[in-house]
Amino acid sequence: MTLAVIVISAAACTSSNSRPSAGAAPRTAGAPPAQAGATPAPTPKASLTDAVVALLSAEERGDHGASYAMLDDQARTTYRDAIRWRDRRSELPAVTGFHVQTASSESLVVTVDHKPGLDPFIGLSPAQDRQTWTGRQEHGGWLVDADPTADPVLPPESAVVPSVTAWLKAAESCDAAAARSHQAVDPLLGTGNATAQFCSQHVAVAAGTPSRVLPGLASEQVVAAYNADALVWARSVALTGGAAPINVVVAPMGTTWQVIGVFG
Amino acid sequence: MKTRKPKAGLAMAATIGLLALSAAPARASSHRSAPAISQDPSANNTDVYAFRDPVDQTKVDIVANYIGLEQPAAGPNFANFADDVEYRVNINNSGSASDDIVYKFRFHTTYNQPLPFQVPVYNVGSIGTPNDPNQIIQTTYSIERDDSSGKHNVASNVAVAPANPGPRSFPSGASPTQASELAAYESVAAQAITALPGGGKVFAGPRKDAFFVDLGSIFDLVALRPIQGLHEIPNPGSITNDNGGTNSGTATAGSGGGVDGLLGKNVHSIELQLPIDSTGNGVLAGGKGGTSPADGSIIGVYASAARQRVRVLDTAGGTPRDEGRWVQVSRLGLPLINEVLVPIDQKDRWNGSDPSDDAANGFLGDILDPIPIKLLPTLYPSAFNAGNTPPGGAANRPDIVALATGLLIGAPASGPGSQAPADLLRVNLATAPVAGRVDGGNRLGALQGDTGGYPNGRRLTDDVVDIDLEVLAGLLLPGFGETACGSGPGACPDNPGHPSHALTQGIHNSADAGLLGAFPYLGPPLPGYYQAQPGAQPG
Repeated sequence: MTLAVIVISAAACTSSNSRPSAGAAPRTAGAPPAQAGATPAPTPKASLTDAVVALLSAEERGDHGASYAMLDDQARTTYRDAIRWRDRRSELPAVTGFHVQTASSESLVVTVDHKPGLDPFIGLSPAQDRQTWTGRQEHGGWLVDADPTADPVLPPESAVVPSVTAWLKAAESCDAAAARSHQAVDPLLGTGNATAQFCSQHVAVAAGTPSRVLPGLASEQVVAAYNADALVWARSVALTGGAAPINVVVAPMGTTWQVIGVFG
Repeated sequence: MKTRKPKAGLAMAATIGLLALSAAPARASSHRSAPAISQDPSANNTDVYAFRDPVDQTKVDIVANYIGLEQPAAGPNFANFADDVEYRVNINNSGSASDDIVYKFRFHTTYNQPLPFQVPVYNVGSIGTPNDPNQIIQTTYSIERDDSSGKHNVASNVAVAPANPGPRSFPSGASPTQASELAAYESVAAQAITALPGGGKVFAGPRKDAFFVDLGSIFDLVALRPIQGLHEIPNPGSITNDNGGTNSGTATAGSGGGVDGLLGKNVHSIELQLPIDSTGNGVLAGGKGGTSPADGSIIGVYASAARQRVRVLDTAGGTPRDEGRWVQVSRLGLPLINEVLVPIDQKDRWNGSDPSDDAANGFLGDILDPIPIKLLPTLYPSAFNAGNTPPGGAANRPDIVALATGLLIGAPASGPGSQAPADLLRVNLATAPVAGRVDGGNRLGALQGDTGGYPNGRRLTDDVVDIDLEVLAGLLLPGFGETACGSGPGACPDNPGHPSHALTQGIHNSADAGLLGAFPYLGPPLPGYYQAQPGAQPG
């Protein structure tokens, strides 16, 4: 290593000795190249619809660089490069398809398809969610805000109790494999080895109206496992007839509900 | 005086910042580094290590520690990974300082309820396997990897190694000792080593903290016990040191004499052993072979923790819930940066920022102008003065610049293989590994000509406190710790009269680390039962 090499680097760092104030532009002329990943230039489209379609099409391909090119200036202050944008998208269900529902000059409602599943990092991936996108006219065309509102499209509420009943019957029959087919996760949250607990027992199901999970151990564990969105999509069904009240919690998995926890 | 000198190949050893010389209320390495995160221990990074595996040289080991200063006797709710924290290991393999590969960890703790009665203890019998049925509290975790090819679910429902209550929980015969108990515990914990699809291994659980630092003395106005007679406030009284003696205040540097503040303390570790290639869980960029810096052999590592941005409190007294995007609340790359070099009003901001923004955020300026160095003439007036204390700034600290840009470990200044300046723990994977010695024999890493040690990554045995003390004080700078010979830092003869050569905390290794000979390397956590003997060494 030579002194010359070091001096070159020293010069590169010299301009970093002043601290920008909070909220100041992150980079200044002459600052060393922190190189936080690629920042594809904005590629505005003729309409908000075209911009959102381009963004979601890129996401469907897994091309976060191309979807980043559809972000407006405000979004780019939050996600300053494509890697940060990739990290944000990794917190959300992957796009497998989409259909534009309604469009106006200010917003676009899109039904977005996902592979159904539960994941500790992103929570629920519903088969579909309804997303409302907004954007801005910038750089000679339309660009998109980063984070749309999203509401999961859930299976019918009427399917909750039959799903719980099917799981319970399998458990009572000591058929662990059949019980697992009605579960979204294994092991279940809450009571350990719940399937074995019901084996050879017969518990009357209270076929009341399913509710969202109530404050208490069930909600704490479900939220801890799948984030607070679970308070919106999870349903709880009370079982009575055993030694103590039991609540079975289900999650929407595609077009049906599946058991994710049993709580005493 | 020391006569060591870095050898050609690693060029020289300097280090960034890292000196435990601040009157700020922080503790090295990062056990209580910043105001906000010090109140959130479960999300608090304490240390990060990265080194090429000396046993399997095709792998690199990354150790990310959290939850510092754990008391072994802390039942029934022993320290644990938090369900509401996303733990991350971030790897840069492009030289840009960006997060090219991110490993995310989410933990989930459940209470094993189907028991005759609910008991308020960690376990109801001996533990023979991770998440044994006798454990009331059981924890699993999931791993996700994000990289340029997308998001990958690496593993789920992986068992966390259990807490270590004591010899009844981990029986080892009729007359157990702490040593036999630790062996019994480790036979269970070893079952938590999990092979990963795509190559490599993972381990998560409590461990004995291997870091060693004289917290008690350093944070009493930056006193170094071996030379505390030189302090502005001389030895205020004697205390038995780790060698069993007392300090005269004029001890020769390197002779020991410190008191390890982490003796008897555990920590929680996430450990990854990943392939040095570009497939599956490999750490190299696509198309790179890792044979040289230009071939992508240098990776930069930092660990972090994130929480969701919104916490909603329940007025009915229920558990708060967290919502929204994940926001980074803690990070750690090079040791001792935030706690020592970042101004106290910037520490929380630093924790929330990415290394790729260190330059833009002004943090490199802090690193290149170490405030603690300015305190030396005041604290040690008979040793340091304005004339022998290095001034700050990039032009005056080429040693620190070289570390921040990877030059010290072989990176070129520009072109393929060059590294953007950032607080990343960089390791050149083309360099042959050298095992750290548990007796501290190669604790000074590159300062002893050891290319396998800090700052080429960081091994569990590297004495980063002493290295940082000496280097920040000018050990490698011509005209200060070296004679002015016309060459760059680390290339001139020693100037043994410079006081940087005398700086030491007086601790050469962690006496109770119990390091293992293979992955996961960190030793088992000390059991709560034996904490009844304060300061006792492992039996």
